[in-house]
Amino acid sequence: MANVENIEQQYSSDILIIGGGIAGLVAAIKMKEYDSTLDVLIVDKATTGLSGSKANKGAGVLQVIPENKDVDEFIEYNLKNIGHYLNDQDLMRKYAYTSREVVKDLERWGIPCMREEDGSLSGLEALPHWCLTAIDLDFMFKLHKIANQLGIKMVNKTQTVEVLTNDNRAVGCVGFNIISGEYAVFKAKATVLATGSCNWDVAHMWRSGRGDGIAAAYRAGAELRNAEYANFHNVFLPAGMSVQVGSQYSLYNKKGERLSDKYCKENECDFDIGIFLGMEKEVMEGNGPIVWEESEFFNNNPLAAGGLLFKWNRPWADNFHWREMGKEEKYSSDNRWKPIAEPLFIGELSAVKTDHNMKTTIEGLWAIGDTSRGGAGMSGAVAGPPARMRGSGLMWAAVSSLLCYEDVAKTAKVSAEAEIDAVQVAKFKEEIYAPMKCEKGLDVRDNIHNLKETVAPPRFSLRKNADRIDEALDMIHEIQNRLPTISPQNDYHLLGQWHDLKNMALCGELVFTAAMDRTESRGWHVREDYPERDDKNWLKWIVLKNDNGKIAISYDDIPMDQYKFKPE
Amino acid sequence: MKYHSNYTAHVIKIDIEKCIGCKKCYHTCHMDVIRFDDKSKKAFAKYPEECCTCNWCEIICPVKAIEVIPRNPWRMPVAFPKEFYPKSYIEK
Repeated sequence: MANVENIEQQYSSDILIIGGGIAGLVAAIKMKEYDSTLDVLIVDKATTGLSGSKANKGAGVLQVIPENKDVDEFIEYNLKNIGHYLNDQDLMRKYAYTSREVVKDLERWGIPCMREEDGSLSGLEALPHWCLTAIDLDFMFKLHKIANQLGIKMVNKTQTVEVLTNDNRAVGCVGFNIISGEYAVFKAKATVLATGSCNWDVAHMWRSGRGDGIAAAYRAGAELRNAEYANFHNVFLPAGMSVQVGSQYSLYNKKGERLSDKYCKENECDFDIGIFLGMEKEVMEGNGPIVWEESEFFNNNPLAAGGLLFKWNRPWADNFHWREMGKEEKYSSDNRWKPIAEPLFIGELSAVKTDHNMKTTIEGLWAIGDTSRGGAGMSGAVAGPPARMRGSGLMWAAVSSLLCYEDVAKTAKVSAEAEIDAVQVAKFKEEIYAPMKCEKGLDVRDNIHNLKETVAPPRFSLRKNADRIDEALDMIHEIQNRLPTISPQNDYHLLGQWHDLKNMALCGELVFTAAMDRTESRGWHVREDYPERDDKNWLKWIVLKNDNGKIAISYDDIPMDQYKFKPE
Repeated sequence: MKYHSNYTAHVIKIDIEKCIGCKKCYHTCHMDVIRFDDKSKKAFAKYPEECCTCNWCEIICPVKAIEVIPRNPWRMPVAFPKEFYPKSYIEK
């Protein structure tokens, strides 16, 4: 085992992209199209372009704000109903306009966006400010093929752990091959994090979001922003695991009362936190369990989710969704017929702070897609994706790639060869393999489960107060303290899980630290001890930074004077 | 500290008679569930605990050698534990 760890694979490129999902691939292709002389390399924990993660999670649904929609109306609707003025309004405007460019790029690459008979992009009447179109789920294969043709290099099955820095500049990353265990060192003039969000391994389809890039960026000294918003939920049926998107108008308590009448407004564009707080309240008052009435699924449901997914001719998506539903019927536990509904924690920490070119606060480091959606200021007072706008996850991944590629390419073009610090490379190597010294110890998966029990339950994630935030932080610190006694059992796959646990625990700590600091309630941040929105004191973003192992808190004022829309 | 090891993982059945060793499932699995045995030139499910039941290996297999059998309910934290929600969520 020790011999393997002495083998060191070294890679060098102009641009290094960490994560081969839709954001990483679109960014790589755009960079290469912009300047074909640039050497672009993508490193992925699985296999770039061939792994089905995002295609499944996003269901291929795309939010577009096309030419015939009013961008101002889109922004205003979001600020009032979703983001509660915690958004970067200039970035939202850029997002809206760039979504049109994304459609053009996708179609140019042979990925058709679904349209109505008259040629217009598909939309839903109940969501008037944007279109909700879709692409088929083979789009990643197509992007992968184009990336190959353009000569983009790919390194697979390699888990990156730390960002390399030299003189406060990012110069690459280090990690290890999850199959062979070999140490991998990547040197680059420009490094782009496209590693996704943190979902704490809770919901099955979101299990791959482990916050590894966010944690690595934080440890390297990058600032994080809006970390308190990382608690997105869906409604699900625990007996069968199916997610009922848009079901908030068909939930009932034991007395037969419809929850939406009490806890949310009519025609919400997607789940409101009120419905989940309501589910919990009803259960606390003895009115549980909450039951989902399937026959009413399409009543007053702006998303009409089931119908949405099947309204187009998408062979790959149809195969995927019918297969999933078929298994639901076949293999669900016996009480599937009792449609008991519960809140399903999704999470979605996406807090790496960036400017409008998606550059982080570290020179030479950019963060795109789910890694930085909240941190960039795109989501506002709700976790993103989807930030209550279905289809905006895939679209933001593509938009943020389009926002970054020119800046990254230009920087890589003019920068001198990156120099990596041999001492840092050796130190990271020591730290990455240190858990392997613990040959017998606690089970890593058990500890991941303990962490989930801290982050996910409604009493910690949805209904917060200072005491429970303290309790959650204590539980996370306990897990962090016992990390040295958790054993990867001489297995590099489990070493990967060990680092995931470490990263997810750090992400949890950051979330609760920011949540403790925001002493108001706004959007999806609900504090029992501070139940009102406080525009006087809290129209600002909480910024977290690593200060020698301690979390330092500072604030960015929202430049409301420069923005068109101000709170009433 | 509570222990949770007594749960059942999802089952990924790979028919090795049918498997042609094309590695498509190995590449498509983003959770590192499926590995490839270089000796037998066949795929096998090494870490079923990590399966997220996306079924993508099953979809992508050119000879239909794979079946993913989900074991529900999955290992989830309990939303409303009885000790914190004493009055309800106990079906009558």
